[in-house]
Amino acid sequence: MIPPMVMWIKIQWFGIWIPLFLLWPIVIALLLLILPFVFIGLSIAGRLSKFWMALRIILAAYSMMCSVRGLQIEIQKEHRTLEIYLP
Amino acid sequence: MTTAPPTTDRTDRESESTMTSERRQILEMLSAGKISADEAERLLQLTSAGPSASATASTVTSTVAQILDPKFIRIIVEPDPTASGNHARHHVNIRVPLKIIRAGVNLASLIPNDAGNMVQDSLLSKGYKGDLSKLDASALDELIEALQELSIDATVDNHLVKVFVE
Repeated sequence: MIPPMVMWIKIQWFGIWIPLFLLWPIVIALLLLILPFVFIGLSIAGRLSKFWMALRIILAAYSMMCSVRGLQIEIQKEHRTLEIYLP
Repeated sequence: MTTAPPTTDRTDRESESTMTSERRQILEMLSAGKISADEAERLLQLTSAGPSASATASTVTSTVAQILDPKFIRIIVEPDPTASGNHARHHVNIRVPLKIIRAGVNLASLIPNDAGNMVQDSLLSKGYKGDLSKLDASALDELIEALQELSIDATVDNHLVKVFVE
């Protein structure tokens, strides 16, 4: 499963491709940095079950991000336009 | 004196066999109620497309897979061309992957009870009366199966609303 790599967003006349592939490495790096500290902190506090729960939520959120691929939203109301597309 | 190479004969026989088995598969799906008469007709037209049997076979297979395993739910709102009067014209075209439903339920099942209650209260205040906590894996399978037969055509406020899976 691969999360969306780019996202098209258009509001009124302004449209832009957002390079999500630049975001994912940052998110993964942050998680790898933070998770060990969370693990140590929670194991000292004796609440390690919270860590596993957090890990499950992160994996479920990742799965959710992957399943968003293919989402397409186009709304035109009078002269207002909104487009979102995740290929 | 000259005869066609045996390989050509064999290829033709294999193509015919493939076509027959695919037609049989389509008819079985129709009799089992898995596809509608229109869908069966479309698939049968594909199988009788002609000489490029292998290409047709793969097209039929992918079309069957698409019919039996729809990937998206599509919501289209367009102004009704028959409507009269000077009313606001809205165009909406939304395509939502069905995988989101399963992933969303998985994620929602991990939400702590307190947060889940807050979400439920918020949905209730907006008029959604369903209880999300009761949506388990079996109910989800039933929901997705029911969605495969979903097709709504309605006229609301001088707009045509279409909801279907594809």
